Amino acid sequence: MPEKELVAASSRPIVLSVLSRGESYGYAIIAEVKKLSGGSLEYTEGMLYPVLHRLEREGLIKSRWDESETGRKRKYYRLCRDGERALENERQQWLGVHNTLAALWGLKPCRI
Amino acid sequence: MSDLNALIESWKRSLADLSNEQADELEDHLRSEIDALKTRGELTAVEAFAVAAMRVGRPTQLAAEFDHADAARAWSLRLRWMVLGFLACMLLNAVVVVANMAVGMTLVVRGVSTPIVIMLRILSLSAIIMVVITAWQLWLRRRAGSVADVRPPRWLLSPLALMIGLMTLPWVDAMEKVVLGVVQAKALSVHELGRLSVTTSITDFVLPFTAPLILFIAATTLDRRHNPRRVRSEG
Repeated sequence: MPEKELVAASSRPIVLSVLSRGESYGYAIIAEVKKLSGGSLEYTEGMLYPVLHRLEREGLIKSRWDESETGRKRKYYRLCRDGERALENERQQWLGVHNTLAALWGLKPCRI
Repeated sequence: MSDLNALIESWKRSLADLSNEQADELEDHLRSEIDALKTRGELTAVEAFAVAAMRVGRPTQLAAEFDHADAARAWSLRLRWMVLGFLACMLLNAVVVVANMAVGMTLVVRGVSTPIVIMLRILSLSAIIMVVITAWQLWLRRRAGSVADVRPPRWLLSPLALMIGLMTLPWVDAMEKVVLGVVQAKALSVHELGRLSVTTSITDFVLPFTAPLILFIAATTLDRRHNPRRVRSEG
């Protein structure tokens, strides 16, 4: 399990990336991140929802209320144009950090 | 199912520090978690609720996380509570000052001895404080949904709220002057006015020491009356 600070810092690019795959909602985002990370990244509700709300205030994502498959009221989020640009920026920054560490550890770098 | 809905409603009431929209979103999350746990077939609906509620987190913790992420909203809410608290303090002070002076004046005019007047004034003030504390606790319990989540509102702990509270003191003084004006209009004798003034001063001085004791005894008595099982187990 990564350090708390790293989990918090990476939540922004991860949430934007999940939403770049299509519209989603809180519970599904947590489940997807857990699955993709092989269980090493487990977001709490108290962490994810404030992140989603902050991204929405920044105009990077948009939300709408709709009925779920069970007929319940559910809030769905999707990525905006500004969110796509922000995600690209995040991607370059994180890959830059990744490649520096990869070079230091003798690993193969990724294409930015 | 109705049991589960009642539990969820109660849980949702404990999220009073969050906006309705945030609470609705967390409710959907809680229900999704309950559905997932029930699908595994190992837990009943109520058990699944207990596990899901624990996973979602304590309401105080959730509110703190949301506040941290949206400080502007958190402060606007706090400010609203401070203003309401300020108005409530003013109203309460007015009731307490006027009621206590009225009690003192009535007793003095009827010729009740000074020590008895002081005692009755302390008792009447303690009773008012007791009623206020009880009403506040009942409101908090209703708001929190369960006793475990009862806590003082955060605005009470804020230094700003303390400052606002102190600002009400001159206002209380002004109210006392109004009451004294009424007392003078009642044409009390100099002797009666003197006795009233003495009982007011002594009551104000000893109240901080005696009122907590009276309130403690009253609270213990009421608690035993409402929880007879505990009395038996203790006896």
